[in-house]
Amino acid sequence: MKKEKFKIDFPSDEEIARQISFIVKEGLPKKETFIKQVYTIYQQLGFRFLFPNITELTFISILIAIFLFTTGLQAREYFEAESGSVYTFIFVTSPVVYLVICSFSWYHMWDNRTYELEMTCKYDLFQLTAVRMLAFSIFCFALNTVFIIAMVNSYHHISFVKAFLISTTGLFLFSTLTLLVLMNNKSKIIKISLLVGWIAVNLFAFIWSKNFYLLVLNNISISVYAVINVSLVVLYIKHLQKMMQFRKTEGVA
Amino acid sequence: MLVVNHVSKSYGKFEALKDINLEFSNGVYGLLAPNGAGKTTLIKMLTTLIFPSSGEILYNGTNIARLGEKYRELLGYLPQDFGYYKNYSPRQFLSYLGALKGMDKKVVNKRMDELLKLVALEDVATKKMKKFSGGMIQRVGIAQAMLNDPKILILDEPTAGLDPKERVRFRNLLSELARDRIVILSTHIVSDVESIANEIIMIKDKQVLYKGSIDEICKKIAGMVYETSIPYEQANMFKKEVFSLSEKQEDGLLKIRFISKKTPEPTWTAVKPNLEDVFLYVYRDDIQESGAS
Ligand SMILES: Nc1ncnc2c1ncn2[C@@H]1O[C@H](COP(=O)(O)OP(=O)(O)OP(=O)(O)O)[C@@H](O)[C@H]1O
Ligand SMILES: [Mg+2]
Repeated sequence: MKKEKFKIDFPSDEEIARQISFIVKEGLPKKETFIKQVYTIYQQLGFRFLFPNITELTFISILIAIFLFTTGLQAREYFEAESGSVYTFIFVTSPVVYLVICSFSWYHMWDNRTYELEMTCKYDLFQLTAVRMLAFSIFCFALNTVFIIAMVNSYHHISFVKAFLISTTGLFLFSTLTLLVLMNNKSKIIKISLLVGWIAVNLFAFIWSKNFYLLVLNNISISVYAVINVSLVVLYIKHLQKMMQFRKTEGVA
Repeated sequence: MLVVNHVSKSYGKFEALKDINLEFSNGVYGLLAPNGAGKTTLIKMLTTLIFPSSGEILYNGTNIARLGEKYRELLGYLPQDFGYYKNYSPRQFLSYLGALKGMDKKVVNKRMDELLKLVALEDVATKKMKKFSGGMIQRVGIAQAMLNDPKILILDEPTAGLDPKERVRFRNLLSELARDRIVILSTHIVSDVESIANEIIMIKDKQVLYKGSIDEICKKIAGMVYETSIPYEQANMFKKEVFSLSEKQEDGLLKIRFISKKTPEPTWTAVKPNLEDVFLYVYRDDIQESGAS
């Protein structure tokens, strides 16, 4: 595998800023109302009721984080031999914490016998789920960033910007997909297979067509990543917003 | 006013309710029907948990699905299968639901104290609910349904598991509440609705069979209900001729209450029909079937 040198035309900071603000403005016409909605729900419920299993969630996140950090920092030989593979590792693992804490939280939320009651209150489970998922993704985004900083410090051949963008893409690609499946499909099997499928497909692609996979992941330029990234974030927020209004148009049972 | 307009509901190929038309204004409505008649199905549609396969449900002229959280804000609901968080105390559980219902914390606290007293749980208000008896849980459920002072209070078999004393207390509470709101409760226990419901709704064969006051409904079998006492030896013969409602032993004879359309015999005393008579008579096939199986 040829080490890919970092000489892609990198857009100036101003240009990135301009592009981002453009996309955000286009994509989020109701940005304020969404933030306001989230804030209202947060104020109304408070931290304790919004995240009732916070202890378990913290514990799980710490466990996974320790696992990721040790794997990431221990696999030096492998990452240095296969230059692109470290990005693949970052991409594949970026949504893992999100995946696990979301599944855990859903399991407790939707499998509970209080479902009917919570569904007939003013703020129903769809609204709560939207707020929780937003919080989880922000948390994972922060965690991933810390992870990347640690990786960059340990492996000097990694570009922070690139790793950051790849990780963010992975996280929001996955979380947007999750939202789409959650909202459009009622079968539990499909939901679970998305969670398992993410890792499976990535691993499969990584092992069996390594060259192709590395090529795709590594040859997309930074600016393209930035655009994909911002679009994904916008798409994600839009779907969270949709989820809050979910029951006006759709049935539940 | 809550209006159910030509509503049908199917689960896959199975039709649970067909062309239901109802109107609710302030007062207590008793949804009275045997097991599996579709009471819970109707209630779930009224609470937006499921949506009609066809037809619509309107609140003051607007479809309740469209009203969304504005409708849910007015709603108090006690599900038939009432789930709760085992590790919460009634206080924690009620403040959680109060928050979900969009209520102000201070209001929730005040209202909670009143309600826990009303359902006689103030002594255990801070105990974890996993140690509660079935009836205590049910009372937490009743309290939570009334928490937001709902305009529409819907209770699916609220008296299940309550002892006679609590039942009476609950009935009084309801008739008090119903003055300025819609209260809909489902039950298959006749005595629960007999004393409090202004109107009874009976469902049979997926459709509304009767809707009216207790007197109106009892008139349907007026002049057909009798009581008489007969020797035991004649009981079997006699029961083939008439539809027996209840039987009890009295002075070595069998005192039997029954329905007959024939010209009464001199030994029969005509009696005023009650709601239970109607229930037994209307659902006689259902009851016999389920009794046989
Ligand atoms: N989710 C479902 N899928 C398929 N059939 C259902 C479903 N829910 C209810 N039914 C069927 O619809 C019919 C009405 O059920 P429902 O629960 O509304 O009765 P009910 O009057 O509330 O009875 P009970 O007095 O036992 O509570 C039943 O025949 C039941 O088997
Ligand atoms: Mg039921």
